[in-house]
Amino acid sequence: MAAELTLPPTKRHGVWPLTMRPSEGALVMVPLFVILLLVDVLLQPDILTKPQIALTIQTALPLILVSIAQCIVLLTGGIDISVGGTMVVATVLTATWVGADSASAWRLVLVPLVGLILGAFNGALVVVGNFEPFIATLGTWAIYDGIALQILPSAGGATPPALSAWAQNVTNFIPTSILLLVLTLAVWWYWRSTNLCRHIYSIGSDEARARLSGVNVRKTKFSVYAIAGLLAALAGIYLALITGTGDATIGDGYILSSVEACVLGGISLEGGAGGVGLAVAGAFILTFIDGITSVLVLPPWVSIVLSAGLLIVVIGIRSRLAKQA
Amino acid sequence: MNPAAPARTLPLATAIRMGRRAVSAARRQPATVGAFVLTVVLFAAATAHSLGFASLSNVRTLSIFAAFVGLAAMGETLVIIAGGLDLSVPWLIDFGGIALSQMHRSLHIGLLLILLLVVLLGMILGAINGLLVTFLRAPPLIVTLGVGGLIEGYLVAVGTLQSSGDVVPDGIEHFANARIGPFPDITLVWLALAVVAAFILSRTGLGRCIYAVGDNARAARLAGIHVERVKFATYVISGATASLSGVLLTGYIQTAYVGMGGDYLFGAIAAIALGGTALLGGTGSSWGTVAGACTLTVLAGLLPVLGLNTAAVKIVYGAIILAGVYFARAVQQIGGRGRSAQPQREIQTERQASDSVAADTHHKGAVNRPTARQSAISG
Repeated sequence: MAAELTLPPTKRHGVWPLTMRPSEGALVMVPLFVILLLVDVLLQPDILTKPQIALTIQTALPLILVSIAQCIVLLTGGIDISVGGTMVVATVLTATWVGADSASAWRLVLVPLVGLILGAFNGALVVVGNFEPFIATLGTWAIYDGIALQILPSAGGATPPALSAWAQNVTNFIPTSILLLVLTLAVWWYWRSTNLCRHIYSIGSDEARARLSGVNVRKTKFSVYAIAGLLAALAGIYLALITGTGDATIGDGYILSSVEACVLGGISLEGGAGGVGLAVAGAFILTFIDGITSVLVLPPWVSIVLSAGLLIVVIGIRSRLAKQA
Repeated sequence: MNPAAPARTLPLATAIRMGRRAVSAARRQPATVGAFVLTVVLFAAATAHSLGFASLSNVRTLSIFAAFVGLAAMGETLVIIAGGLDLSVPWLIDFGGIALSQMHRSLHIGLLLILLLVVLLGMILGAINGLLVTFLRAPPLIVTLGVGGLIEGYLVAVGTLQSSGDVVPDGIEHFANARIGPFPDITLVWLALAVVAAFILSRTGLGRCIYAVGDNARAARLAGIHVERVKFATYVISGATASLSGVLLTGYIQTAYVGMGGDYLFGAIAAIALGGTALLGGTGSSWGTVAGACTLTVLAGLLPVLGLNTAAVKIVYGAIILAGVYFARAVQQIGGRGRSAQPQREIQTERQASDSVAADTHHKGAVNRPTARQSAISG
């Protein structure tokens, strides 16, 4: 008995197939994604050129990165409200502390670290302070937002021109936004096979069982919040680079959007089901909806109602499917 | 131990008994007391810094702002105690204000009737929340977010139709700025409704069911409680109080626009958490939320007085929310003998495996469904 318990849990327990199991969420997401993509393409056939695709991805990429951050936290059964705050801290740092001066451009490397630290603080509150994730990150969101506002009280600043030009470039052989998206997906592909990822799924599906089977729950949760902070910071840096300026107020919209993207993608708020790829797809779904409404010059409420309605429909279909399963 | 109180009671004995009752109530809700103490400390700090803070007019203004937070959070307190979450509150507030303004312009009926209609519509929107949460068995966070989005879409759509002119009915405007004796009307409405909410929670069957459902939905169901009906009721109440808050806010600021409830999205939840209500459900009180609303309002009033800029205000605000919630929980665990959320949860998760096996034999089909507590955690 004792020998059995000391075996490496991930090998015996077989958490891995969980990620392979087709979730109900994905079943809803795929048709939705395809339909919206088709509608978007039919409405504007010239979207299929390389620069246009790159531009679409460029618009979607900040939301994609924040959604991935939100996704890994949701997978453990938590939630991160503070992603908006971490994101704006990174944005304003990029626009002021890094700045347009090429002599200080190297500081850009340190900005993701700031995100990591802010995320780690969230993790410490949840793990050490035993706060509910919602409340902990609600409080830190206000704090981070305040820090960003302190650094840059009104929109302005400038980013390194060379880096901005690189980030905005959509006519390269491989446009930057496509390159970054592929890079993100590649990192995710590698990350899926790490122990950390397996532990996240096992915590999300049953925390008590994960603990009993030897997963270091506290360490894993802490890492997840730290990585979420890092990803949110990357989103903020990218946003600053493509807009060429900093604004401490742009983060708030991303909080609920990132949760929406995850849900539309098919990630369960109970944790343990779904994957990063689904979050990316969900972020694209939201981007397509915005694209379609702006092409048709529909009034702003259509987009709001469409995404809210889809949210309810998707969650409804999903829970019906889950009930049948 | 003590024999029942004698039938003829002396005034002194009555006073002692009332005092004892108050002490025992305070014992049961130490976080509420803690939040009130925090309010007083913050208030004293502000007064020490500038005497004008304690002026009657300033206190009055603060009490009005506390009332908006408190009303917005009142229904949601019940929702959260029952293990749910209502993120549609800010849009319900928007809806209350804009619907009032719309009806005032298009319907030529009495003000009281308009008021009733607005609150009724708010309750219907809350009912939609409740129906979707119970019928779809979906996480309340997502459902109420979606319903909030739908309300926002509708308001943006109709909002473009109206531009200027007589936006707010005079009666409401007058009511929102009037006072009875030294007390503003809005504050009195808030406190009166807080008494009603406290009565519902502590003295009625519904209240007991709300605690039971939030504490352990499966146990409540096995005990014969209509879990769905109880949850549904809390969302309806939340719709009513949030839309009423919107109506009063519109009367006070004399305008109505989409986004005026935005601050109450997380503000209401922060007030609830400061009052010692755990977001996991099963614990908390109406008075806790009243105390939390006071704390937040005094805090929001204090920080600019100290000469902090907007950025610093946000930072301190976030820090105090965290410290306050931590404090509330610590006090609850030390002082409250019964209801502390954390240890109970541990036990429950340990027990869940055997629980679900037991439930399987009795209640086939109820197993694969996430329990209300699980959805509450994620929500």
